[in-house]
Amino acid sequence: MDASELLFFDSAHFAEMTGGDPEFQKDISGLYVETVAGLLQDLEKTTELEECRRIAHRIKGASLNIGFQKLGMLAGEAEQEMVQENLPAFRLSLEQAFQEVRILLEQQPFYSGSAG
Amino acid sequence: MTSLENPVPGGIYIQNIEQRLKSLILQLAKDTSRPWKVLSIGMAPAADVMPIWASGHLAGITYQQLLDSGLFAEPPVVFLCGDQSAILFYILKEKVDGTELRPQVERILFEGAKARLWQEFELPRQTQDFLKTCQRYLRDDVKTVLAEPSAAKLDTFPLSTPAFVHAVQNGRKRGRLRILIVEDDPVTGKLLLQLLKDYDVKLAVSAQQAVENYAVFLPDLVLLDVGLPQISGLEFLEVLRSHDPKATVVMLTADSKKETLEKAVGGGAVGFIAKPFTFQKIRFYIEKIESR
Repeated sequence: MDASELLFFDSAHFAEMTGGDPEFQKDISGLYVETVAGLLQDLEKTTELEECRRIAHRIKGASLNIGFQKLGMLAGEAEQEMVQENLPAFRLSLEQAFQEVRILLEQQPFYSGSAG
Repeated sequence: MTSLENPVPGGIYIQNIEQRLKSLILQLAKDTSRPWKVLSIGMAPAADVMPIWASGHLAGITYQQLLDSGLFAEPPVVFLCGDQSAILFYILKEKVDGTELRPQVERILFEGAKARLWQEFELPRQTQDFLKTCQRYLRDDVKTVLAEPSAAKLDTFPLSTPAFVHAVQNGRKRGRLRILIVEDDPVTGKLLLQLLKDYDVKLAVSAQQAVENYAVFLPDLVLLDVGLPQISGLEFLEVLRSHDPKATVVMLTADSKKETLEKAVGGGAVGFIAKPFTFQKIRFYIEKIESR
């Protein structure tokens, strides 16, 4: 799939995965934000490339499953293409994309912050 | 003769503790490659310091129980390696009731998951303090070594118990479809639990937990993440299929590399679900099982 075809947030997928249940949507979105925030903190501290790729892989999986396609795809690129030289750039772009995710979530009626 | 009872709840390991212990001892006795010999019964979590302190139990088994068990022609020499509980046991036995254990400790090795936990999630300073405490009580020539966690190994004992073998040979019980999800990502795990809430579902977050769950749950379907930490989904698949050739496993993955697919199919997986998954994708496999 081309990047331009990706939705930033696939709300239909999110609705399907959550069964449209607002209470579950609140829980899962909070857990997602908490999980990815933790992973990004780990990514900030880690210099070992294999571990960085593993973290990117986890961000990718969680993001795609919940419907954040662009963050998922960006994390997938990081997983595939990350080398020591572009590690700071990937960190920054993942962090920025995640901030956009948070902003979008905060506009959702079901969202009430991270689970933690 | 006193039986080796284990008063500390230790899950499946409580079963057949005598056989397991005996087999472990025999195996270690034969292993000449080790610079030290180990009687490691480290089932008690490190957090159980207080109960161990109070009872003098080593993972729920006292030295006296070992002596009384009939497994040893003469009092065993205990070589300690491993976790906090084992080391505390040694120290306490020496200090509190004066039992002549006299373990020929060559070194104390913190290894495996507990070392990782101590280092990463507990207080590294405490670990260092504890090493100093050990050195105070042990002989001068005993070295304490904080080892790198060794390569993770899957303990497949739960898949070898007579109860499990019998259950596999006699087929699964009929009833609500049972699904074991093996997924370390909490978001994906929670989504799957929600999607599959109409079935009898359990979630394991590691290969080791999956072994333990599989042995007691005997699921009809395993949804297995390829990218598990420490022991990968593919490694778990191989182990599982060697113990239960009828296990129905569908791999979950965020990458669809040909090599991964080939390994999974070669390992006996019946299918693949690429992330992002949907209920429809999972439903396909559920229907196949239900139509059998």
